[in-house]
Amino acid sequence: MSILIGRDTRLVVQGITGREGEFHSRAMLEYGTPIVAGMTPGKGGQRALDGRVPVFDTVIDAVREAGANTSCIFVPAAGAPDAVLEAVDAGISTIFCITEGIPALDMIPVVEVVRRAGARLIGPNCPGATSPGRAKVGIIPGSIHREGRVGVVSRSGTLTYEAVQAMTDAGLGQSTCVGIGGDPVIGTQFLDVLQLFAADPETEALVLIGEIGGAAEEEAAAWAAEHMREVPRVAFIAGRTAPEGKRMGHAGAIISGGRGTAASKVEALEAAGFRVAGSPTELPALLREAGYRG
Amino acid sequence: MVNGAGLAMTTMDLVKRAGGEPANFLDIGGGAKSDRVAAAMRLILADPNVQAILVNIFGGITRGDEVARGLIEARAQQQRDVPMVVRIVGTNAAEAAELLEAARFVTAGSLDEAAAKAVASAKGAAA
Repeated sequence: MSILIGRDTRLVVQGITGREGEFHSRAMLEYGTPIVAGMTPGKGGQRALDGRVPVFDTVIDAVREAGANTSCIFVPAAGAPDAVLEAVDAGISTIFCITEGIPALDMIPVVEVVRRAGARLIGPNCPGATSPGRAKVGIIPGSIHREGRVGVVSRSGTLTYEAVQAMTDAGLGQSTCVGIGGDPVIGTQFLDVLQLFAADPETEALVLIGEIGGAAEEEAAAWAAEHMREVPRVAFIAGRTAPEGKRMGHAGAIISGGRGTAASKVEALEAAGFRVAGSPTELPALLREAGYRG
Repeated sequence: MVNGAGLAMTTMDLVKRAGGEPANFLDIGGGAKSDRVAAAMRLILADPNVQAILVNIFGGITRGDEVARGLIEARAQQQRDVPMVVRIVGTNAAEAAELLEAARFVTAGSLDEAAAKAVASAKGAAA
């Protein structure tokens, strides 16, 4: 098994005929991800990716005619909230929104609609997820992965790649790697992903990559201390040297009113039994120290 | 110069850990082409506090060879002699490595090594 995506994934790509959508759909297909449909309004009936993928006008057509159950959104920011709502309305259960730059206020009602519908949204402003050897959804380079049993969850994109590459170089494969996104309003939090990993029999160790801002790392740490006691777990927090009051590239990465500092996150994680690395390259060795034998 | 917010913060943390002091950071974003990289380099060089430049790119959307081409172009026009350490991994890293080697750039393999080399060259430049 794995989490979020795996052998049962049937993916529809919203915005498959756009520049980014097409480039990354090709990479997903090459990785072996079952892309059953693409969706671009007005281009229904065409075929994308050298004729390999049928394109539909609406997500509901992709669900009815191609059996899509998972969606990946590459729609520009102005249309992305509606794209999420359309996927929910069509009955898609797992929605990845890669799009960056959606206003937080626009996302608040969307996240609520997703929640009430019982669907799951990952992102926005996220790199997606990979279950190595099975499927990858989003923009994470497929080449950095190795199949295994370490679950990786991160708020960052390229920093996730850095951590995953370090694990792979050390021979530690991954069950699923998830980037939850760097925006202040996102559909899936660290805590949600930890709950999924805890329920996955094939995930036997945990890597959490956090950064300054908010309190999601602290909440996840407290839950892990109680429910993942037997799971070897390590973490890295970016922004130890970030000044207060400055937004560090991610909209959600800001220390405000003295809260959301790297120090408080490191402290909470260590108190919860995580070994916290000073550099992403130290994560594999720390995971071994924590007793992981995979 | 980095691509991505989390990597930017991490790179600065590691520069500090290696005993250096980050003057600034510039995130070239996803999918930058060589002209954007060259423009970024001009902006960084315009900061008189900069004594060394660390370029740390993990290519996903971004292609390493595009970054390398941008760096080579920027250095050809560079007015000020500032040492530079370049680390490019991920998408098209092999092509980037060839370009950088031919142009005799100082490169680094790991994140920690890149930070250490950049700090050492900044100290060398200041001395």
